Amino acid sequence: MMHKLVRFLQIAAILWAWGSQGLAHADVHVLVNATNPLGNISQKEATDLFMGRTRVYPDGSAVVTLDLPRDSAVRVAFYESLIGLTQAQINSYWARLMFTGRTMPPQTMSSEQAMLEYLRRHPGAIGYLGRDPGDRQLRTILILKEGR
Amino acid sequence: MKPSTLPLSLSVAIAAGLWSSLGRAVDLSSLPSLRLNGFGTVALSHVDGPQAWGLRRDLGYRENHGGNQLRTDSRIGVQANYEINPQWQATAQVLARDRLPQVKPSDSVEWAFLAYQPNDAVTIRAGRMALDMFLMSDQRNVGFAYPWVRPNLEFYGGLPLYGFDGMDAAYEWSRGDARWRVKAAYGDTHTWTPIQPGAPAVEAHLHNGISAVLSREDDGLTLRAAVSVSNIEVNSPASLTQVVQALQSVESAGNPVVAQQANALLTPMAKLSGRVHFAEVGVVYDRGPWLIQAEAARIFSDLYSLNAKAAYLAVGRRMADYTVYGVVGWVRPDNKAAERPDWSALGGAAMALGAEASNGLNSGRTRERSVSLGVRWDFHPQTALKVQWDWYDVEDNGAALWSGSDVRGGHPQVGTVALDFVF
Repeated sequence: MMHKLVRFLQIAAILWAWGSQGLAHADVHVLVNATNPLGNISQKEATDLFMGRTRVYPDGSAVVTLDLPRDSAVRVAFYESLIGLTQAQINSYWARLMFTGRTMPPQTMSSEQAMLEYLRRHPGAIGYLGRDPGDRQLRTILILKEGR
Repeated sequence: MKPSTLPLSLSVAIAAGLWSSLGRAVDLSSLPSLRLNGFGTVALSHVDGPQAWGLRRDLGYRENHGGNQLRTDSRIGVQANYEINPQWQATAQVLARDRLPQVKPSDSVEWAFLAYQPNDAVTIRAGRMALDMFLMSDQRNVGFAYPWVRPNLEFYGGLPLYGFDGMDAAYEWSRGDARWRVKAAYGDTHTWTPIQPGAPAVEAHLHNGISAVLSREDDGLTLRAAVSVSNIEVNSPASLTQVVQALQSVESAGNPVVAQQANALLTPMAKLSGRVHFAEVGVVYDRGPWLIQAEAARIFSDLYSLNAKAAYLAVGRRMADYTVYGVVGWVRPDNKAAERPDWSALGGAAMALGAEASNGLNSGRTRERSVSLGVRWDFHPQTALKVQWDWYDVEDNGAALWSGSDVRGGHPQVGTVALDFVF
């Protein structure tokens, strides 16, 4: 019985890992609204924003951080490039902060399209995408290269 | 201080801040202001040890008779977080887990508090909040947040304290690449705990607790130190009162040697209130494949059983989705074991009384060490499977953490399979 359970879990993990391929190695563009006065930011500043270490931009204005859905390959690539952590490690990190009442993780959007639409309408928001959106209403402030 | 008794000036300040900040909320219009999340663990543990010894995560858990246990490590929690605006947040968490039968249903509310963040550096909270006295004291219910199955028993087993009612304030700043955080808290808490194995649990109140925590985090290395002081008051159970009265009779009987022996037993038994001090230092190194965590604490108080030192060291190595780890823990009481007096000349009843009193004191002592080895498999981003084996060296007159124990020591082993998840 235990052997079957372990086997089932191994197969589930392999299928999950296989499904996470695709965009996992593409560059990731960190995006804000084009009207956001923020200039390019460093990887450390992006890490501080997305890991909940700060709630404001360098100029002191409030930030709304956005995440792609939990099953998104771009999300996996983003955090691996940003801070070198797997999704399980990221979730463990947020479990420590969120369930102890310290701070909340970025808002998870339902899709890339939902993230783009929110970024277009909200100057204070920051998100990411696995490609250059080619959208005048948005601006890339950091590109995370593959394998960084 | 309970939330309901916050000073009027503070209540007015909170209300004024809430009112003024409502009008300048960042546009969160298309984002949910209310977020519901949860965590849980389903775990099966097996204890192989002295007859009827049962494992408890801490003294706030129900007694059991060992063997296979599902309820020891299984639990589920749900948290609601309502973001009123970027400055104000309300958070509540409820938790279902094994608890002593005396615990009130309202204690299932782990925390419910209002947080005010006037800027990026300051957070002020009021309500029922997580106790932040030790590295894992605020996250010990969230198994997904740490590699091992349960916080080290020697360190955390004697501390059935999770939250407090009151307020705290934290200030964060950066210096170079390091992030510093200082937090001060004030409040009350209470817990139910058996004063010795097999005895009914008694309620312990900690009043007017003051604590301070300083931490520094830099590139995966976290250092912290914490101190606290509280007034403690333990409700005296009827059985203890009877023993104390009997010892007082023996003490006043006239024989100076017997009186001295009776007094030696009476003093620690009769003292059920006073001050309790905690001091702790901790370090976490979590970078790349390595995770190292160590913590040492000192507890001293006016109460006999609340004087101890404890420490543990945990080392983990990540390999893809697997984390292999080992933990060693250690706890020692400050007080020597009580000696059983030879009152044979006073008759059988006095002999039994001396034995009962000394056994009662000694069965409430904790003196043991442990080694744990295990592996965590993150087979899904939100679910982890853990397998752990623990070996304990429990000395005579030091088995208080073990349900069903007496003054004799032992070498129990525990095997556990646990599934931790978040949602």
